[in-house]
Amino acid sequence: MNPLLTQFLSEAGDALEEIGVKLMALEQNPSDKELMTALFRLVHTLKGNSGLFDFPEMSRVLHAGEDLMDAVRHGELPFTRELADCLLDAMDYVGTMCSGLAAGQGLSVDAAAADLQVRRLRQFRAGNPVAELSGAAGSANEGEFASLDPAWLKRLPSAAYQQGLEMLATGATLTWVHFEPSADCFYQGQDPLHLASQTPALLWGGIGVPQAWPALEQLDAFSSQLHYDVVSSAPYAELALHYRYVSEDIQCYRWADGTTTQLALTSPALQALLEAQRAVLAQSGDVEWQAGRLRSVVSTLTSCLLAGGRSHLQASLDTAAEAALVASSGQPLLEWMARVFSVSPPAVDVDLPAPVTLGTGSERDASAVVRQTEDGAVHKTLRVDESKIDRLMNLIGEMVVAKNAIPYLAERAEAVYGLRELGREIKSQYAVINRISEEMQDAIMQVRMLPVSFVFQRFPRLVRDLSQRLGKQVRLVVEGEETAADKNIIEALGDPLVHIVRNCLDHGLETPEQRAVAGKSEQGTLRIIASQQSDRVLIEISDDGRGIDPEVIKHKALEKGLIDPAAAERMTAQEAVNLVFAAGFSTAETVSDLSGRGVGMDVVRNAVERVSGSIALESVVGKGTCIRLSLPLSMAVTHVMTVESNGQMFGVPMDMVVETVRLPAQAVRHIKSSMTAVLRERVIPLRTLNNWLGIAAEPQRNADDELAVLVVRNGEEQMGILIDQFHGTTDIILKPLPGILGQLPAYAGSALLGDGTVLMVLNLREMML
Amino acid sequence: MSMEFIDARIVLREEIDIEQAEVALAWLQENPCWGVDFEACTALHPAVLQVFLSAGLPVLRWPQQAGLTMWLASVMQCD
Repeated sequence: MNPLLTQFLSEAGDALEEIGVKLMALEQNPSDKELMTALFRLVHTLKGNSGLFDFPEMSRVLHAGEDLMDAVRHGELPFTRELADCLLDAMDYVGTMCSGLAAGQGLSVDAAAADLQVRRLRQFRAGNPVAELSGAAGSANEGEFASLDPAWLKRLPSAAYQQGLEMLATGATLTWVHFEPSADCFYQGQDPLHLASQTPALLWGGIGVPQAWPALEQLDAFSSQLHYDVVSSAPYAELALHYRYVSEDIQCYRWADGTTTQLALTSPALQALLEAQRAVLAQSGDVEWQAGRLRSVVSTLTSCLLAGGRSHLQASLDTAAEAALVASSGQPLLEWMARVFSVSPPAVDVDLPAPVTLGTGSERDASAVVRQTEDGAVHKTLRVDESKIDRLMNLIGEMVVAKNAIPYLAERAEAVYGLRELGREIKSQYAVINRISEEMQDAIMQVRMLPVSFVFQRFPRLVRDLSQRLGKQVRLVVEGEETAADKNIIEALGDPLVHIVRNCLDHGLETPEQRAVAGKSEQGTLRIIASQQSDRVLIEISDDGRGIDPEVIKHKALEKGLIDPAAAERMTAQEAVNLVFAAGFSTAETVSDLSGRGVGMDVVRNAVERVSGSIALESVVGKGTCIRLSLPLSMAVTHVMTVESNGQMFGVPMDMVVETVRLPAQAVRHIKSSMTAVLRERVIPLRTLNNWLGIAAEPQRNADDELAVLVVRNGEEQMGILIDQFHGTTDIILKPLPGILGQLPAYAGSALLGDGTVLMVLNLREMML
Repeated sequence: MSMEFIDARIVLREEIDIEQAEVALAWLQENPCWGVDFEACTALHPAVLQVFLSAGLPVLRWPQQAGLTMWLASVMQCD
């Protein structure tokens, strides 16, 4: 993919997300002008950027969206929920296109869908009497065209006008296309004049200018200011095809037969012409050229009738002309004129469409200038490819490891070479390097930190849409959005959280009627709260819904064969509730498209555990449910304990270690092939690390015949692991094993130690399964 | 294609593309101009045209090509 497109897609994703957030914020506060302007700017920028590529459908939808927002921004339209729906849908459409592009599938062009979006957006532009040309699909029908304002026909040179009239007389269909390209059309490689001049069956074409030009010094030659009008006898479908890429910039009008009648009555040019004829006719008839003069007037009046589409009055004109010639007087013709053209001079200027059009145009251009300057605002954030940060992260990891070799060097200087002074100097230098590298590591970690709002920002939309569909009233409360964690953690959080929120909405919260019966307020509350506690991020999702009934859960689990009746009997309420995390458990009465596909909470739990997180659920029937996620701030640096077994060093993540104990060999009980021991009045199952790793060696005992037991925990479960020797704890940069080694479930990854040895870090969760 | 500035006149030949818009704009900002000779011009980018229109230039000679003349005549005057 070319870098420009990559950047566009990345920016488009951000912009679309922000548009969604702003639309919903506007719903709460429709009069917020600042928000509206920000929203408009986002769409405008996105549209402009999309124009860099050959995505006409995308640009058209965005353009229609931009126009709609512009109308709202200028107070021409109120901001309503329906309007927000329409805009959100349109942005979703654009988002889908972007996702397709990002996935390398190319642009899945669905002109009909784009048309639908554009039409829906246009429908909101109330008061627009014009039927838009739709795209190549051509679904708009010709009857929808507004008829032409007769005053526009005055722009036609007489030859073209006469030709038009003649064509109309023979039954031809004439369409007036008003083409007003966007100000930035040149940047999209368009040549609107060329496009207009290539209009099929072109009868006439003209250019329109803005009402006032800026001074030459201020003119932006590359901002299109002109508009174009063409008259064509081509059928609609052909015009639609010709203008398919700019269909939103086009307005079509029908030049019908009747149009010209109005022209005759209202045109000031015609009035002037008639006035001149009246003046001629009023002159004395005492001249020899009176007959010629009368014939000339009759010829002019005949043309006026033809131009006005009133040829049926020709006979009465002929009669009047004859009478005038016989009497050698203009009087009969004057009377005829008084009868036929008896209109008081109308204030036609008011009806002229041109100034209106031009006004809109210049206004648009003016705002375009403002927008350009707004767009030019300096961005304070820097967009960096993730792989570059990862590289920095790897480098600092190596540096931390390399730095750890210095104390060894100092010791060697002292012990091997007997240079105590040098050893001390090396140590003091090490302290400095250590401090800098730790700060550097921290700084680089900060770069990778993202606020949880990155994930949270999708929830207002999700809650809004789902609650609407489910007929529930839900108030969403989000707190602690600024809590930050490593990018990988935040990204891994997205899907599980969405799933939990969907579950809450679908199963947890009741409908307003059910809530009323239960004596609760009709509006349910969904809270999502993030906070940081030492090196963990806690996320709490709670609702005040119906809660989870442990008996129902037990019953379902029994039905599905997940537990046996005896186990169900023994189970505490909390244990029963925890069954929702069991694979294949779903309580939904009907499978909906929201949740309840049976891949519910177990997937959530797995996703959370994959990033070393934990999940807990509490529920009170009738009061609500609360789900707590605890995640590490970062996965990059892992605090491990090093242990030794059969002469090899292994790392164990410290967050799993409960305690280290020395256990007398006789305290180990053998039950069939498994071992247990009683520790602090709890029965702990024991396993030997050697056995698990397939090493044929017994765990070593110390001089007092004691075994080294590392007690580890996974959730509620505890286990003792028999090893040979405990060593200290250390910070490591855990790297996943590459290639085929990565498939070994026993290891979470590897790390380099300060002395250059490789430490294998155990995946104890796998061991405890 | 070419755009030449001869004796305070702009003389266009053949196709005039969008790049000429800035050239024309820069020249017009510095120099007086009587008008534009379109006679040998066959196609004109609207960006260039709007520079002429903005400067209020008249037509010194209409294009030989009737199609282009039609468009120009709708918006420009003869000197």
